[in-house]
Amino acid sequence: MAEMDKHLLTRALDVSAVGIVILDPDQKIVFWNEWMEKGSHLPFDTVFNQPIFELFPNLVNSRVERAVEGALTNGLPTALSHRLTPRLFPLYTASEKGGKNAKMSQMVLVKAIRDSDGIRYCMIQIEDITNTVSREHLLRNQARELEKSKQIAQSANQAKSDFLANMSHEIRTPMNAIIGMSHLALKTDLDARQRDYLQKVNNSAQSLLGIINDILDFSKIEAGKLTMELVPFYLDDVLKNVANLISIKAEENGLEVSFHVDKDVPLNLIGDPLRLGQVLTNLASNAVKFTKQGNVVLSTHVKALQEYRVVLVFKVKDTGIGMSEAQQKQLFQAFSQADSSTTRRFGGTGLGLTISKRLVKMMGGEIWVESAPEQGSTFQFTATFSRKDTDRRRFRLPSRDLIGLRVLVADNNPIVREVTQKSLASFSFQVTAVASGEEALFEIENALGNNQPFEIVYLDRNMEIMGGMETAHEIKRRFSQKKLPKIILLTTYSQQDVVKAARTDDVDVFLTKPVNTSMIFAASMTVLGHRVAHANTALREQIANENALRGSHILLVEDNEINQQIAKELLEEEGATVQIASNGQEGVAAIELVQFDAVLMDIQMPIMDGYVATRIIREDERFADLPIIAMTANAMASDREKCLQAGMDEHIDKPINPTSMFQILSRFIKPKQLIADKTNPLDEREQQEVVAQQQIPAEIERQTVLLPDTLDGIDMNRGLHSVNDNKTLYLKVLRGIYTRNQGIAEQIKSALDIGDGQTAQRLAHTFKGVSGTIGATKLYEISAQLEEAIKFGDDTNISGQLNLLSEAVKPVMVGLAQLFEQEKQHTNTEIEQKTLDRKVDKTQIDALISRLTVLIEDGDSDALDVVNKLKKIVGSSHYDAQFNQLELLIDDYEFEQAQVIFQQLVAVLSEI
Amino acid sequence: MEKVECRRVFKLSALEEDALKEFFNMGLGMAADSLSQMVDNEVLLSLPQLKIVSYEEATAHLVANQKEKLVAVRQNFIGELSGTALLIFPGAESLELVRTLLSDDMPLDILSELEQETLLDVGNVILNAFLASFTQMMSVEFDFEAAEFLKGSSEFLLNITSHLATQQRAIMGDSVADDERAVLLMMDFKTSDEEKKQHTLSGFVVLLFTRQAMAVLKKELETILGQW
Repeated sequence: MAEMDKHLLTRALDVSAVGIVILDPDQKIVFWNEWMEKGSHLPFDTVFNQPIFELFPNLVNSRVERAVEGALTNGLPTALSHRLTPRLFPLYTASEKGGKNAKMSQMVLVKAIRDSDGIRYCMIQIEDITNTVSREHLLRNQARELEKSKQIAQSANQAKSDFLANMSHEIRTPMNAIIGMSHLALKTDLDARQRDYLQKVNNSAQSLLGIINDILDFSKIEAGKLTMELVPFYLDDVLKNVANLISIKAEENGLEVSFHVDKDVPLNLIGDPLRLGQVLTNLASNAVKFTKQGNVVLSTHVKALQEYRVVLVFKVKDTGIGMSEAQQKQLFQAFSQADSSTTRRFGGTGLGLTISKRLVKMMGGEIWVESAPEQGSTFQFTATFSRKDTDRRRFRLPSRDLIGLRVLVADNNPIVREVTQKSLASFSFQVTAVASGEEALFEIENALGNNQPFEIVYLDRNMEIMGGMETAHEIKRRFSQKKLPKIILLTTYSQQDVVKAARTDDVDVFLTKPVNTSMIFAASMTVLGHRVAHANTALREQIANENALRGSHILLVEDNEINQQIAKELLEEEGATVQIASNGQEGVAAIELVQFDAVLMDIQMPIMDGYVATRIIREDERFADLPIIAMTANAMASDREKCLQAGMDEHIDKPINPTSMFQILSRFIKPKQLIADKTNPLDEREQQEVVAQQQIPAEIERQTVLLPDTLDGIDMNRGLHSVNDNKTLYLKVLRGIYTRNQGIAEQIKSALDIGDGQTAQRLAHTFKGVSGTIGATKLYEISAQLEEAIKFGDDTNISGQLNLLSEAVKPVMVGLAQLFEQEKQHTNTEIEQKTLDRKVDKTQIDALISRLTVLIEDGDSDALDVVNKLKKIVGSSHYDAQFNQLELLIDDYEFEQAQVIFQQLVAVLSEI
Repeated sequence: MEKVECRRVFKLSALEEDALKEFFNMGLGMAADSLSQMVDNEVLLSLPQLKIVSYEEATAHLVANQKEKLVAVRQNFIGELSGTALLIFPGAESLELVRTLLSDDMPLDILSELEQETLLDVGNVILNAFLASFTQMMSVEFDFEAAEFLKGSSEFLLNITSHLATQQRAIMGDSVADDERAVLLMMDFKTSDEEKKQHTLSGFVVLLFTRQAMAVLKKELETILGQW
């Protein structure tokens, strides 16, 4: 490089846009550019030759000083960042930000340079980064604000979905009572008018539930909370469920519903079976609703098939009223049906299609309709699923000899006939289809003549002139010498009981319509004497044992008495015996004592909830296989998930749908004969006791119940109404309140005193529920207010409401006391009678009592077993409250209190 | 020079390697002290690995550990012993290092300008500590260029020509990259914050030497070891 003018270089440094300072080996300032003069307000001549750290004493021992020393001794450069260097040069920024003389934010570089003699000098370069710092400060604040508002939005969303879950719970609980109780009531002796009323109540409740479900789904969609599950499922199971749900209605309308699944449709899929079923049910029930006569066909075919994925097209075709183009356009909008007049005529929220559209979209498909007025409608949608089992041949014939097997189908409905024929042909059978019994007989005769006899004959029961039963009978009669075909009779839902009752030798297998391909395959294989490897639930329900519940022993863990009653009675009707535990803890204890076939587990319960109880049960290896089925009224996908995580096997929504509850239970309960092989932990005597114990309450319930005309503070009409006028149940609830809730206000107060707001809230909530049920309107209102106040920690309101509550409880309890004193005398005589009947050894009771006295005095927890024995021997549910309380106290090692309760109990028992 | 000879030149004996490791560990202690003071929080640095490898091996090592763009602080040293010292982090780790050191909770997923500056500062402290302990042992004179902040692929960062472009002359004698040797040090950072959980992250310190420089280094090491 040529030698440059020294002035020129100095000027260049002077005007450069960074501060430049050069120090000699003694740290004295030898250069100070104009930028530094401006920034420091110190002219060069005032700083020249001054040691820099004398000029800036606050930088002594700072990183800057170490950097300068490092440069001068080792030649090492240093970069000093704004954030990590608290002490920097006292400079003022030129920029306007922060007003005049604002402190400058700096980035400092310290470097060694050598002069021509090789002596090390130090150069300090300073950059003004004030603007960058303030810009990033702004940016940082913005980002933080953004994060904050994101969190707020998220928690608002969470609150919304919590609200939905709660709403759902609150609505479903009373719906359960309405549907369950009317279902039960319909099974009792009723006159025609009562039956009509109740049937209408039941129907309305069902459709109300449908509407509620729609609205909840819709709001979940709005909130973006609708989720799709990805679980393996069997397509035919979904179709079978749809069939179950719509066939009754279809039959009432005189419609035939048929299902057809194309031969190449894979059945083992992964997706959300419930949501697929929901869309199909919605479309199919619309089709049934809008079709006066004719057919509804639900068919499935493949649009695209890959090794691990399949796109299916589902088609629901009806012969109903159809729609104009204008009507079709409005279809998928919320709250709209074809037009407002149809809304009035056919009812419904019109949310179904909006929800379906959304669900289909979530299944990776689309939905559309083809229709014209009076020409029927065809709804179609596509959906994408993963394939679980890529084996394409769904129906594998067990033997090559069966290929070309001759089958005859006789059905007067052309569409059903065609669907059945197609299904059979897809198994590579040779199928002949006819429309009547007469033609069937003709074909059979013909085939025999040609020496190509039919092996299987499908007969529809409802053919004109000659029905399926008659035809079957004729076949047996006419061709008895020849090789007879196997006969499968197709019946409708409402006929199944009649048909079963009239089971004859003429028919080999009965199938309830609508049938699907799997069912036809299984039925065909069954009559041919082949085992069906492809068993699935739809088939198991129809072909296998029809009543797995009979003789089974089920534990119902549920705190709500109404729900207890509904589930218990429903199950008992199916022949199961039911034991009740009113919370998780009791449930766990019950399982230790008795062997159950299944457990129905409520989720939200006091003392111990369903999740915890399940986890405890599952921890014990003996109960690893015990079916535990959750019952929840929350019905959110996340709850289902939680149930499964806790170790439960399945999940039933409340309100309980009896059919689906039976279906689910029978899937888990092993047939009785298998269970009989297992060693039973109960000896025979104990077993008898258990059974006897369960029968007694039922006997008492059948007796007339004496209720007073009025009760203080209780609207008895309202109360009785809420328990479906079941006086026994009403009395039970009243007794429950009387024995348990005398000191409700004190209980809540003491929970609050120890800071257990959760328990306090739960107590208030439960009390609200029971007082509402019995019609204690005032108590209900106070406890509702109290619950709210506890929830929001409103202390002044809490103490006010507590006072009100303890005042309001008193007159109610006085009234109840009179009632139960009266009742006790009444019942005691009955108990006496019973006791004599059962020849209970009174000396045995006395022996147990004296043993128990010792054990409780000693504080021995063995007392629990003795209490249990005593309870069994006494055998009346009348003392359940005391026994339960006693058990709880002993279990909690509260022996002093247990002593008090025990003495009360002894006093009462001695009257026997 | 014969190829056989080349290999011999670049191979350090176990003793020589130990000596190098010792220098670096001293440097590391100084760096950790400075950093701890700067961030007012205990910072622990440790060197679990030291390897002397070819350019290809070094590249392979970095690529295997990280696919994304790398962030680095570089410091060139010039003189009889020319080369480049690099502190290399995967992008996300560098972000975490800065935010951990500053106890920062800035919810951005890129390094801001000031954070780059901070990282440059930190890298500079660490590299200086290394270079100081390294050069103090040597009899040769060094000059250093200022630390710089870089972003790039491992191929780019580990190629000495990317760094010493201005000193082309210094490496003219060496033709291609396969003659380059690198001292690769894997480094673990640990900060212990009582409130938050402990943060641990790994970076690399790489010293890139030309073949010429490697020969000087070997000679220097022999001298030092001879003095002991």
